Amino acid sequence: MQKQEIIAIIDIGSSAIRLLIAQSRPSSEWDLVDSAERSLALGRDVFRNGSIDRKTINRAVAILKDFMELMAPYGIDRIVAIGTSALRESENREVFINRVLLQTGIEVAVIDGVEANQLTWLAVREPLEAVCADFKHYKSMIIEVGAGNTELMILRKGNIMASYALPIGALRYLQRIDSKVDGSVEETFRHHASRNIRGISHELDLSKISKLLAIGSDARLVASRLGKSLSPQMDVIPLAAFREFIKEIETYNSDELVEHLNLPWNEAELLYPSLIILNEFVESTRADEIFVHSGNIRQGLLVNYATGHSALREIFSTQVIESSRGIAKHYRANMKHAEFVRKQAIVLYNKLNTELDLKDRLLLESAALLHDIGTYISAENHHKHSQYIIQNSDIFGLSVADKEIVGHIVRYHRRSQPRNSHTSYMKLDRRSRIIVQKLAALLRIADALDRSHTQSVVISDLKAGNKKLTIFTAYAGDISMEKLSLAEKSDFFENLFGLKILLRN
Amino acid sequence: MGVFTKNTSKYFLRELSWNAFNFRVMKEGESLKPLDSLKFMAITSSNYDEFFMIRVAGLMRKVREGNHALPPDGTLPSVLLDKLLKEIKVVVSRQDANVCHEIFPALADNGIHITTLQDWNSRERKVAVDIFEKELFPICTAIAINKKKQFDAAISQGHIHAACLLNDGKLAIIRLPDNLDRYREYQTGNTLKIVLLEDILIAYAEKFFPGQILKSSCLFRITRDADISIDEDSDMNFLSAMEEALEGRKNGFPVRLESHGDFKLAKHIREIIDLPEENHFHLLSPLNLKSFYKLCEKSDFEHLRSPYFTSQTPWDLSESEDIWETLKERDLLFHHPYESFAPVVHMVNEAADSPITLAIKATLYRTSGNSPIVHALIRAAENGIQVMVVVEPRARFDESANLDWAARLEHAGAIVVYGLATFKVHLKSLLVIRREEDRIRRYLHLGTGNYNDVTATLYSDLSLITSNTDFTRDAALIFNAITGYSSEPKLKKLFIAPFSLRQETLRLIKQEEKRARSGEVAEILGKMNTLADTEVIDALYRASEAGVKISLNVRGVCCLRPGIKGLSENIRIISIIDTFLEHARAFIYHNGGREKVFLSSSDWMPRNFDERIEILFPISDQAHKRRIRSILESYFKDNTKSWELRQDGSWKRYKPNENQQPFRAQKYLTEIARLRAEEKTLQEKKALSVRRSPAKEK
Repeated sequence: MQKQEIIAIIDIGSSAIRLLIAQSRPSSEWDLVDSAERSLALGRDVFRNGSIDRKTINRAVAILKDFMELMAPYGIDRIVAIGTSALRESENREVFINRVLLQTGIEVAVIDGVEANQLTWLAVREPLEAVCADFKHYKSMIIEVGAGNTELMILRKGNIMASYALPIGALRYLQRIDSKVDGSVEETFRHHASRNIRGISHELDLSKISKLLAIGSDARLVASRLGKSLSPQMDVIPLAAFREFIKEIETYNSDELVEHLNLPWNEAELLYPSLIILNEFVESTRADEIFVHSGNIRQGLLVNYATGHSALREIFSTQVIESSRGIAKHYRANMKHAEFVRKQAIVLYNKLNTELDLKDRLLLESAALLHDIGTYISAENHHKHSQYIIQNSDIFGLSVADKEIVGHIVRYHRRSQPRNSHTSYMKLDRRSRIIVQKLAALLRIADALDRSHTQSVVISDLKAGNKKLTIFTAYAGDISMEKLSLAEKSDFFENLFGLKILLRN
Repeated sequence: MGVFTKNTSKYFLRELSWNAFNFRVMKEGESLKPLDSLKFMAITSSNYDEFFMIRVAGLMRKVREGNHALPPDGTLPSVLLDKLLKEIKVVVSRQDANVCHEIFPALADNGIHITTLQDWNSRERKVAVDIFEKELFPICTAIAINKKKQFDAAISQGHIHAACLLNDGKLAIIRLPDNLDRYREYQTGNTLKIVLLEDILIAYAEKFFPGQILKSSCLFRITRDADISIDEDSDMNFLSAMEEALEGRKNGFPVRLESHGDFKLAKHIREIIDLPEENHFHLLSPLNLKSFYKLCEKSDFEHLRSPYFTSQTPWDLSESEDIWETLKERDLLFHHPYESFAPVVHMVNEAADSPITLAIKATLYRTSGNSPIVHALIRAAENGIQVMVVVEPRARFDESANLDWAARLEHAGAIVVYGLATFKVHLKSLLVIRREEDRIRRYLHLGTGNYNDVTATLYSDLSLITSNTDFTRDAALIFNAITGYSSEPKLKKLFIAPFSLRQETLRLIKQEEKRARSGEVAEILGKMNTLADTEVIDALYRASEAGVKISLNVRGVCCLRPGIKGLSENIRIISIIDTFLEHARAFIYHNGGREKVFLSSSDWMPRNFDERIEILFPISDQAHKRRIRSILESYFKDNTKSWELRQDGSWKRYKPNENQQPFRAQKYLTEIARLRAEEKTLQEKKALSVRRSPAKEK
């Protein structure tokens, strides 16, 4: 019998700290062994003051100490602690993370919203397609309204086109309204939410969305009361019933919500505002029903996160490519050139021993697709514009750190090479710099091979040896432009790989 | 025993209903063999001790403060108190007469003579004076009383004291030491003679006052208000606050005076403590009958009581079975005390000694320090297993005992949680977490009774052991919540007060009501100790009116008024008073034929729904469901120990008529358990169980 691995996952969210203890099964599934949840007003502090109060930090430490005691008998092999939106946004998150480390030995990692989205999609895809086969035929959306953020994923043909972590959340809004309320809080809230969301919906062009999946505890609560069960994991709420329910609970105060819906206090307070936000988004689309995932997907997500992304990557590579393509198109890149460079870059990557892993190849592909998007702003310095756009776009499947790397690969696809005076480059850690250098070198070669933007010089064969990399092409036409370009751009490659590049037809 | 004050009321008053229950207990005692009979009188008397300390004290406090919410039918506390004390007096005088005129004479005829001062001859006097001089005189102190304040200081709650009036008009108090045996026995011929320590004290009390003459004397016992409350917000450590409050219990205002001996002197004492005449009970029989329990268990007098009872091996489990293996396949249901509590103890013992046990979590409410469960938990903690125990220090009258063994657990390394600030933890649950070869597994015991080795043989309870992951997951969440690791849990299968238990109960009743209204068969069958929650009662009234057939076995207080046309004509309430205290809470809802069966730690009263952590858990095994149904139904067939509540609040005792076979539920359940155990032994004998080591692999 193989030894079971037992992991503890600590999730530091906007309104609570959760603990999950899970054990591995031979089938590579995970069993939940124990769990606990304590409320912690991290979001309240951060969304109001921008930082976490000392009291809250003390309480967090106390809770985590309790959790350590609860974990003690299980013989935990590994503790994975993550913080999400509230912690990410707080100005003093380093103080928080340090205090926690010093006093409990727990190392908290901050994950970004998009990274969380990938995990979500992984969890809902199968059950969703099982009950709604045509989900992927429509432009569709997955939405989760949280205390601090609303996470949106836009899908087309079953692929994630875009994903957003919008700073719209019940708690975040309530904190703002709290400080300047005159008149009914509900009323103010509704106006506020409505104005903001209408604007965003228009920008995101949500009116074309016709299928909708909601996740999160509030949606689940509504589904459990008015939803129709489609499968053990999937419910559907007709839009009319949803509207009626909102009207109904509008008349209740928190006390009555606790009473009528049998809710814990902290959830009752946020239920109405959360549903208002959800409703505003729903009303911006043309969907007439809301699918709801009835399981606690957060648990699955966290276990997935903690147990490594290897399975995840494969699924996501297509998503990353799709999402990069979407952005390239959005900025009117020359798609033929972009795709051509991507393919050639893969060929080069596969031939050479880069000592990088598959995830990095994906970054190269994304960079290849996006390297010229900066020309949307201006051809001059377009590599810098490209970098800026990449680092500030939501590319589904790429974390903030990933986008940094992709941005820098693109930054160095033209003439200039990394230098000590490039502060943004110098901010990258050592490994990231090596990735940037190697992948930028490959991108430069691949780009040079299509200097004419005619997609003529297709690599037919590659030979490495005798300090040379010989690229063969079947193209019989004029390749002088590519040769010239290679001469300009290959020095970086030669320095790195110790191979001189020759182009033969 | 009338139990309501207004004929138009929809509810019976709780206090009066309780007194009617105690009356039934006493009545049951009247028909038994002398030692059993004495035991029932002792139970009645000890029930009153608690009742005065809490409920009567509560009413008196309301009357004193004058600021109170009216009970459901609008009866003023003062009116209720007046009526209640009158009715209690009826029961107590009958109990007193029973002891003096029926039970003691019957015992004397059968070889146990409990003597009184008047009966003493020279032999008794000799024994008595010896005991007085050697034991009492050296340790007793007579305290002269001049002021009321001195009196308060000299009296301890619940103890027997002697009052001595001297010829100079002075009053002195002597406390009867409680560390000496109260019964002094010696054999003369075929008779066991018993001399009571308090009689010895009174007989020679004059010796404490040299040069004085003892004009008159009496024995008395004062009961005080004992409803302690603790300031949860105070900075003080909870335990010190608790200890302080326990200390304070000695000083609550007096609520009852019991006396024996000179009535005039007793009356004088009543005046000193400023207690109304209604709260004074002057008795012919000895005070504090509770301490006669021990006498009732005396060996060699089997002919004076019903045969000693032994629990049977449970039907669900053989001794040879490995409980962990069995639990992987099915749940186990036990009916105590008919079936032994041993498997539960065995499970905890095994867990305590097993290296693969990771943790044991338990709630302990009214557990004795001698409980084998507590011993096992202490051992487990010493063995390095994480033991987490939720102790409810506020379990009434056990507070100081609880604190004592909780400290022992803590010393052994267990994590002890002293309850929750706002809620009493009343659910009874024990969770064993084991790291088995393939995975971590949890095993859960849930019961309707406490983990108390003594009451486990006297109370009738149901309990379940399961490894069903929905249950164990919920239970782990509940433990995490009540031990402070987690906030309010979201549960799949279990319902807990104060979060979902009331709602679920109301929902289940409502479901039956709906089914009845749509013309379906609808039925509720239930068993509990107390039915006093008006919201639930109203729901039951609506269900009854819709046509739901409701049969409830309510042992004690019942505020529901059955059999009233247009209100409750489909509700039947019975109460079983027999050898074992009916303690299980079980509920069956017809649910259109797919019966829903639940067990619970909770009664249907506001206190349980709103102020305690209680549990309601479903039974899923079909055989267990059938079994619980047959248990509940047996009570309604009982025609010997059963009482039925009438719409006027009186209770009618069932007697079999000439055409009926007598049927006694507890006897039937005893028989069933015995037969099943025998059948099982037989089966096991038939099965050739070969003892050898397993075959070696080649």
